[in-house]
Amino acid sequence: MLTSKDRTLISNSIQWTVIIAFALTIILPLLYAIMRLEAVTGMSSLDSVISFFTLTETKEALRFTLLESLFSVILTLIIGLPLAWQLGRYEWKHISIIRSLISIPFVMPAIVAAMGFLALIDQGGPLDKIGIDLRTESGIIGNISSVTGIENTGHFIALVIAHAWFNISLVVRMVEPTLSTMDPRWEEQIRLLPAGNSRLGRVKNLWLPFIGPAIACASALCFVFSFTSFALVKWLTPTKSTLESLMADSGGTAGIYNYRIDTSEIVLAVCLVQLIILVTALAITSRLQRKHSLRHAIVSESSARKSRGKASFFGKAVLIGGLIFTLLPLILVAISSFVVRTVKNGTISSDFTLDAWKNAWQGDNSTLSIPEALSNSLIYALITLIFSIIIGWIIASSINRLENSGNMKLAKIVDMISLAPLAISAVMIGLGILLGILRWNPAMFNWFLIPVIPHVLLTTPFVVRVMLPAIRSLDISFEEQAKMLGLSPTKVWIHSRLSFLLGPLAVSSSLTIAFSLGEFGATWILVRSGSWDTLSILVDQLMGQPKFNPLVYPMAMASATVLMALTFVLFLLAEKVRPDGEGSGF
Amino acid sequence: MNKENLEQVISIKNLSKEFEGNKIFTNLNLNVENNQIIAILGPSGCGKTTMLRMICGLEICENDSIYFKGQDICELNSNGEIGFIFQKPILFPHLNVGKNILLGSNVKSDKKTNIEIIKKELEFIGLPGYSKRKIESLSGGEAQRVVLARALLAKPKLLLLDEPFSALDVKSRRKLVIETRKLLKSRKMTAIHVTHDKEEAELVADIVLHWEDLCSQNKTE
Repeated sequence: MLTSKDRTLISNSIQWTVIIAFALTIILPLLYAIMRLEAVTGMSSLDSVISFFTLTETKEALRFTLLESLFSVILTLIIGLPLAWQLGRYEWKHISIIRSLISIPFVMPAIVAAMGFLALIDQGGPLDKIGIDLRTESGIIGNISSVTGIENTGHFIALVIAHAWFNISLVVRMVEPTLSTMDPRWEEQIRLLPAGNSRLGRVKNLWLPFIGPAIACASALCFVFSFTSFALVKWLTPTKSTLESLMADSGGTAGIYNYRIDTSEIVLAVCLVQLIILVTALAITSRLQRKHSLRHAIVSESSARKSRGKASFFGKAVLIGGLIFTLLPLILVAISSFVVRTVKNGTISSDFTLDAWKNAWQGDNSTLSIPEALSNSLIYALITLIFSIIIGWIIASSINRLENSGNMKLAKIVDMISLAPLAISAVMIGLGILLGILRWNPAMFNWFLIPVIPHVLLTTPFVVRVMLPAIRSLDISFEEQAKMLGLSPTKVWIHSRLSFLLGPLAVSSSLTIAFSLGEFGATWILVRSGSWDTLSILVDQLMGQPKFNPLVYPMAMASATVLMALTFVLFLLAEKVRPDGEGSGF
Repeated sequence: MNKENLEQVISIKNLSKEFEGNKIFTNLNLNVENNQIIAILGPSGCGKTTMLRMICGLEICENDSIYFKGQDICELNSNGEIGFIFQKPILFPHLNVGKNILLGSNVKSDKKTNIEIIKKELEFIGLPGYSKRKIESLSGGEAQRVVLARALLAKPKLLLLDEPFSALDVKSRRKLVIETRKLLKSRKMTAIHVTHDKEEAELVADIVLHWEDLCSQNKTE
């Protein structure tokens, strides 16, 4: 019979094996990819970084990436902060539903968001109808473009708005809990002191120190997400490249000896520079997150809200505006799937039909049907779920064990390893596997499970983020009590751990499936066999087809609607079982 | 008393405990015989809880100084022979009252028998009809009674009670202490009850021992 010492030894060995395997799966393909690119180009990594600043293509991509990321962060804060303020400070009926609705964009697949914004800026779309033409840049936007001389201003604005749409939930989820749990007496006290006489004084002496770290943390994350955005850039600014899209576009021909060496040079240079920028940005985020958590949770949320009462008319307008902004692109995706536009006698007419749905449901010779793509997506998502949950749970348990044993430095290292896939973007992970594994072993191209590797790597950090606080909050006395009742180790585990982690487990499972279903960057690079296309790839393929067939566009929208509906259901499930107090997490 | 009753259940010889270089207690000695209820009276923070946790194996004891029925506690595999009632009632929130009580049962029974067991135990602790109740609906006193029923159902050879009534008001505490003694005696339990309340110690125990005396016995010898 195993003693408790034996069990601890076995459990520790399993934990370390999983952590090391996870770390190697992240690092090795990337390392091999860099080695391969170095061999193909004949350049060292250092030479490649230097060459980055001499190539026009890469310099332009860096400029555009930094510009769109910066503007995206600013717009996200402009929209997100008033929302967080109103939501966090006042009493709202059905606050959990409002929170859930505002959080939807963050879990929505990027390709669905891209379709929503394409529908929004489309000719005859809502923006066009009110005189804002972001596509052909006539009207106000055309004037801005001609005055400033910026090329494709409309597309740039659409991209920035789409990024803001994607990221407002981050700002709300990080800033709102800080506001809603702030002790109202702090505000009363500052008003009675000379330093808080003026509004500016209160902002400077109370609000900025209090919510500043949360805003900074959210801004840093918005920057990272906008920096690595791929599907939105691909579809909203097709004439411009970010570092991520440049890498993806060049990746197809990179890493092959004596063929298109220029693309290998670009991928190597961009990969290294992006890695440096992302690691720096995430290190700053991690530092800010620690600072943010120190100032958190002062009083109970309900008592703080009660003391401030109901929101004003302005507050309600802000919230309604925010909700419309959140839901409009998604509603437009669904509506667009039923609208078929035809040109008759030189005029465009729109008809509401189910034809696009029928065609998309049946598929054709060039693309899969929705059910086929959906079943591929679900197979990938379910396999991803099994691996991610097990790996994420084991890593989170290890971090907690190391923290409890006072080994804080090692705990931090394991934590960093778990977050590493976020520093290496989806496209970089996809390219790592393509260049690091498949170029050495092309036979693996046909292995249908290849896309599962990046899916697992990209979803595991979210599982760790959800499970870790829950594992940390487990009360050891339940385990002790179960042991004292003479229960078997399995029963002790069920009653003192599993039963308390069911909520977070359901949340992380729903998020894992949702993120896997919507994953685009890595899948786009890796899925080579048409029969294994996922739903998000199907949307991209349909949108890429020539539009002389009027059904192609609504067919893409129909596929996006299915993906959106599925993600929406999973998200609602996650919100329903989300444990109290975890609202500010993912 | 017959010979069996006098059998030593727990024997502690020169037990010491240190934490991060600080001595919590040194040279603690204690003998508890079968069917005895011992109360140990001592101030808060003196190490009473630590001692109980060492007896049941939740804390590691550095030397072979605790013997349970003649066997070194370090070599003993915890299989429900020692029961523990914590200061805060530990009831599993995902299970109702009845299912929490059943966790103490050593025998696997069919549904009908289980219902009977729960019914009997609930009547025994004066909470009939509470089987389907949720844990969060229980008062502090009720929760502690359910914990007691569960601990007794496991039929431990020794029951350790770590100030189980400290969170209750004076009136409820007095009532529950008297009831607990009655329950323990009716099941012929051996128990060590630690508390800082003199009245509670006198009400529950056959013998009241003072913490300082336990730790100084060896020194005086």
